[in-house]
Amino acid sequence: MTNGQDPTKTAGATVACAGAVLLPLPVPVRLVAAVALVLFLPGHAFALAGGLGSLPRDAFEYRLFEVATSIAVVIVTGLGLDVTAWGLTRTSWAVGLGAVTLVLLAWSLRRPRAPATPRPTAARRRPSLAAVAAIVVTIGTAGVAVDVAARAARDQDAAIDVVQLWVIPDEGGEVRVGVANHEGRDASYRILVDDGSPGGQSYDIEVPDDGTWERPLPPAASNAPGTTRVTLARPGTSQPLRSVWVTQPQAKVGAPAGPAQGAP
Amino acid sequence: VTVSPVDAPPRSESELGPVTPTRNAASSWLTATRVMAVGLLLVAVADVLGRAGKSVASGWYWAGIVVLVVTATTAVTRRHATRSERQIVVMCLGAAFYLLKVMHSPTYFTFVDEHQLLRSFIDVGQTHRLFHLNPLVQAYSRFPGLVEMTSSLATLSGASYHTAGLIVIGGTRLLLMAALFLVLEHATGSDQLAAIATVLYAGNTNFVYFNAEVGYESLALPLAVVVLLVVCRREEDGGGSVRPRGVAAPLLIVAVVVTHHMTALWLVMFLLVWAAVTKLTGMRGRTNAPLPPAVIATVCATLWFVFVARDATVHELGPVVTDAYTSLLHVFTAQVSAKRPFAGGAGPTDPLLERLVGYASVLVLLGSLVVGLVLVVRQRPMRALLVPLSMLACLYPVSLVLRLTQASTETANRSSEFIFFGLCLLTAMAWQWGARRFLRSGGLVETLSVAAGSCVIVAGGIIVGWPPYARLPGGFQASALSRSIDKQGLLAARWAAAELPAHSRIVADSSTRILMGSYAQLDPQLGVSEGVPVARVFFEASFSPVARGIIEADKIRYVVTDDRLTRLLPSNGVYFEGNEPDAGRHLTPLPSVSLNKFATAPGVMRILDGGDVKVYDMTALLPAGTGMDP
Repeated sequence: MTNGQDPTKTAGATVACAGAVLLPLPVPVRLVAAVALVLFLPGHAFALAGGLGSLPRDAFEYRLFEVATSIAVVIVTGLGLDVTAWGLTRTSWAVGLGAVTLVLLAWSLRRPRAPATPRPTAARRRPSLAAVAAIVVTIGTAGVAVDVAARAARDQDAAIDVVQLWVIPDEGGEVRVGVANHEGRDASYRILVDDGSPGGQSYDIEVPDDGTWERPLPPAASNAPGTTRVTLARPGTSQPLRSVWVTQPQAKVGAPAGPAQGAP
Repeated sequence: VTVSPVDAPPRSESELGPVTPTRNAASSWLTATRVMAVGLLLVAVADVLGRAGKSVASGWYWAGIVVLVVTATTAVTRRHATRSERQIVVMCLGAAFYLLKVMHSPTYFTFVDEHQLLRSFIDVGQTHRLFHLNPLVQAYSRFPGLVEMTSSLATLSGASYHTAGLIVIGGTRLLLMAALFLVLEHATGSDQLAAIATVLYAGNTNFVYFNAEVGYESLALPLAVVVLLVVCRREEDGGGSVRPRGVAAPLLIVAVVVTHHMTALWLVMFLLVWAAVTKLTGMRGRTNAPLPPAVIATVCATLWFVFVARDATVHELGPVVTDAYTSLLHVFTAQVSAKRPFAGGAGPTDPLLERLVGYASVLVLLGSLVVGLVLVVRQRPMRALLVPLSMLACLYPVSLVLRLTQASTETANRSSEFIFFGLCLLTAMAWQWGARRFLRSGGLVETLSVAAGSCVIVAGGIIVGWPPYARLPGGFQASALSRSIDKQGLLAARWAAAELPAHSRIVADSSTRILMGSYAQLDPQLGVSEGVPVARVFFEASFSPVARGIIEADKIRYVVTDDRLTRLLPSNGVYFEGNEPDAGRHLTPLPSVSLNKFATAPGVMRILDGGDVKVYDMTALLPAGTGMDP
């Protein structure tokens, strides 16, 4: 059973999909092409090449086997690509899957076209307008359900305010301090650096929502090894929001050389 | 029970009685799917309420489940329903339950196995090579089928691994329902019986959540059922047919073998039993269609196990089996008492009504199993396929015994999706026999009875297999599967991915270490270090020599703490792992001093303060150049 498909059209679709995923197209467009290239076309070519034999009893089963064998072809192709020099890259996947599909299609052209055994298949009926409308309503309702759940998930995340403060000692002895603002709004902070020097250093910054601020701390005024403690607070308050520290045996960290980004 | 001959095509619509007009048939399944969409909407409302912390959420949730199951069961049980209608309805039910899981975590991965697999996705995305060691679950690196599928789709499209995984598993869910229906139809010769059984398959404890996760079993299982369908069709074609047979079976078998160990083992055993029964008993099937695929599956699985996946498989499944055996032995020798049903950790126990439904589902399944077995034995002629299916169903009581201990409960849960292939069919056969024996066949009472029974089975499967805190999304809970994955932990993991060297060794609680191991590609340390459980590093009241010794011996470079553990009890009973002090018996949250000690430990740096989640750098305690895996 070949389902009356023309291999040349499938070859054209394969080349188009393989090309589409390699072009800098929008993700949704590439996703459609990738789904066809991964979940349908290899199995379709496999079926046209006679790989399914007489297994499918009707068009429904034909499609079922096409999808299943498509998955299997992708898995086997991936194992093959893994041992090549190219590995599993976008290009190798596109070329590999495209090539396998085209080879199967070429095989389907070469094999003798035995008359397909007639199978009992349901007559194709054009769906009524009411049926189409009902299907649209069903899919739409399910889509609304998923959208409602997704919005609730995003809202729940948005309601969680997170501020991160970090301090990272680099290999060169430099210390980077950073702040990430995930509070759902632009925010002002005061950073206090206690490096052992009298009074320490403080400076004010503004970080946009979902933005980060980071810069290295210049060498300290004090040359004594020890702990550099960095504290984050709201402007005008002394209550620390976050606190981190590094211990540098040979550290030379201290006051910033100039005003920080966003400093008044 | 009557069955049609093996080599006969499935019963046509006209054999089931007067054919209803096409238009009515079409409007019937369309109505069913529309109502099922409304059921999904109810579950979506439950999700919203759950995230808002409303206790009424579970009521909406169960209402949605009941609408889904009753609608599907009613639609497929109707006497005049067509075969196509039943096919569509069971596939829609599978899709609806899949969307239920998607709605649970629609924006990013929240299930444990998905995060563990994410590590492999990221590894392959960065190195373009398979078979990288995954320190979270070693077997993932040796069974790369799903990694290949998801990586290919994500790489080709530019979509996220989350989106790509949802598409792959969504597609295979439809495959599973369609193929299962056709296999069971082949086994019974009745599309009505097959459809009811397929609806009942949704009652296995893993159907709604675990097998809807982006997990390797979720991909392998549908492919394995398609292999069975191939064998069914070969069996039908065997009676003197000269039809070409194709090479789909070997291709699909290879795909199953390289995707999941347990499914491959199940497939091999199933095909061998099926082939042996066909060969030895001369039951109907005439040609031994299962034999070649059984041989191919056995050879492929053996070769893959021996040359590729032996260590990873033994590493993953070995402890599960031995722990189950040991814990059961302790129960039977009265060294420990059996686990109390519906008890586990500090999470809320199921309400009484839910527990009753859980018990009822077990009783209904056991009773149906007995009746179903009698019906199978009395069948003349008996189909060979019914034997392995019945043998699978007979494992159900054994799986109940495994629920006597916490350690073996996981084995019981993980076997459910395999056992139900047979159990759902025998249950459906028993119900059909009961309806014909005691009720007016095709009547309203029969339809309602089957619908009510299906609700009990499906709801019972969810109740028995999935803890109440994990069924719906909501606020953060400690050690509570998907409920322990939230924005704070994710942001910390993403920070670690940007700032910390990959493969650095870390210790963290059970949820945080999965996030750090996946997004940040850090290597969590577990188990025992020089005879001391690694988890003790968190339970020492001070940075004692024991804690320091663990850090130094295991070369742990970073310690990640979550202050929420000092305010919450662990829902599943353990904060870190099973060998921690007071595992399963925590009465109070972790003392603050247990986590705060790192802040005063000499040489320890706190390099991230993300609110509750903090990262401590232990590099100063370690010899230079250590603390990272190769």
